[in-house]
Amino acid sequence: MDLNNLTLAAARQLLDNRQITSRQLTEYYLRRLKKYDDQVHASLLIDETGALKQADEADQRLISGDQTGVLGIPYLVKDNILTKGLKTTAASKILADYIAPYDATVIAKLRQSGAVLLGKANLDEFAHGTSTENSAMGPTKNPYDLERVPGGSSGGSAAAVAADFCLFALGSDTGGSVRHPASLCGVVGYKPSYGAISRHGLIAMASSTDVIGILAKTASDAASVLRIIAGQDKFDATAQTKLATAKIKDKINWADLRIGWPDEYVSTGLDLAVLDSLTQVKNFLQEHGAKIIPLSLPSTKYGVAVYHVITSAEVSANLARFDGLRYGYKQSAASLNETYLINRGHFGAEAKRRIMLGTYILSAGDGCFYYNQAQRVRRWISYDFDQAWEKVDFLLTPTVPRPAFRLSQKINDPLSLYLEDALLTPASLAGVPAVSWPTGWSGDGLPIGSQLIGPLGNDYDLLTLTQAMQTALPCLRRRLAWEK
Amino acid sequence: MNMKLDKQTISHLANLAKIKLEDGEAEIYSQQLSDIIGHLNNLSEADKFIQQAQLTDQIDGYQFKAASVDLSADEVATWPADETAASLAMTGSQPGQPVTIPPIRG
Repeated sequence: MDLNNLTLAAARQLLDNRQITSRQLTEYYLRRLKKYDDQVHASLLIDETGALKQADEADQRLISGDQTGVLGIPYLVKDNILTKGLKTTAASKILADYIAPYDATVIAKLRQSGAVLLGKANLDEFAHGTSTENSAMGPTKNPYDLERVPGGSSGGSAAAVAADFCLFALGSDTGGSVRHPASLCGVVGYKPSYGAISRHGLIAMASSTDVIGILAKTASDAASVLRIIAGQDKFDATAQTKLATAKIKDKINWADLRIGWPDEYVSTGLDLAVLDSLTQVKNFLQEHGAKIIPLSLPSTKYGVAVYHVITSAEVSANLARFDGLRYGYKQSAASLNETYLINRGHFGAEAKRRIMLGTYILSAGDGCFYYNQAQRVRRWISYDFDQAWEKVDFLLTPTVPRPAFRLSQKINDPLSLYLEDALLTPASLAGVPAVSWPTGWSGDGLPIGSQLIGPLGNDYDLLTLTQAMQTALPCLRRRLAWEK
Repeated sequence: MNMKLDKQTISHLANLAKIKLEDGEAEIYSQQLSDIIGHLNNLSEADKFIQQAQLTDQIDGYQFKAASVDLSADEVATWPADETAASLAMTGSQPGQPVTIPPIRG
């Protein structure tokens, strides 16, 4: 049986019809990982023994008639999400040998539902980055061009789905870290409403915008995973956002749709192929009766500045626990100060930059001035979205202005890497759901994504529209040059 | 505001953040963080826009919908014994004994 390019939904059918076992499916992805991942470097750890054991347990449940959404489905998880008994490194030397004593809530839910955890996916250290080059374990490569970045920070998760190493992957998105690599790797990357999915067991980067997101081949597959992992959690007081509906709809009435076309997202700085791809989506919607409503969100251009003020402040506070005494690397020294310096010296360059920037932002005087300003503009960004929702149901935008750039091209220019997230940070700062899905290809054969943003809690409607667009304008996965 | 984070300021921030800088790093970070601060200065322009558009009251009084939290009852829960043991083992400590940390010599 040809399992190449299977979706979660197709695998579900094969499993439920007993045409395949979870063990066969798991062995297929383990084989692919072993054969090809030394080139892509999407994974940091493969748990073959654990995965096969979980697959056998899933097969037993399938025989007894159990058919939950992810039962027997192999997946990978970004390595900043805790997995009991397996290393969780956050791609940092500081946590190189850390083994979590408990599962993150999302992992516990997936385990209970019978999903098969294949291993851990690469990321920018502590999820700081847009290229996965900040991983202390080496960069992930874009499956469509091994000399280019996969995006980040969930670059390993996105590359793994694109390379067909798993049926879905979990990532985390603080300011675009699921949507950015999804766009660059040609897969679906869904960032939920803030508070829809528990963050318990996600190594905190910036707690006020961190969410766990889903990378998959289709929006429908992402919705199947969302059904399992969403919901309140006694271990995360912020996991309180109730979703308006419980699943995606099969049909969509195009004529009922009001789609916002925000000037600030589409007017400047876009690669022509990105604009062409987005315009095709817009034209399709228009031809099928949807109302395209041009509008303005003037706060958009300040998103990156607000994001880096607020998240750096939160990063410097959240990474204070890695001090050589409580968490992480532990090496003795002659004084307390020296203990801190030696142990925190294992942070990579980007983590150091963000910690120092956050320390500055949280200092009295000029730094504090930036923080107060950013909090104010953050309120404006949310206000702008609220104004938009009075006129439209969703916003249609590009995900990233340009396709994947070359490895090392921007590594010494952190500001240009930060600006990669220009179209992604506003949704994160406002906590609203957003999804990137593949809509085209550049002249060089690199994937291009488009983004839909929706109101808080309307996640399933957002995924319904995304799936409808994927069905109407399919952008099929292409053959990868290194696949034999 | 036109801030430049010079080498001395970077060294001061690194000291506050308990981060050891290697030779030459202060200079690199000074350039990179000054570039970033330069971008953050755009926020002043945002303030002007808010005032000119007469949005000050709406924005200063804005309440985030995503941030509304109903606190649950503060009840003590029992953590699974194996997870407690694994956590303590990582610190090199014994159940019922104080948590130990690496010794500070000198």
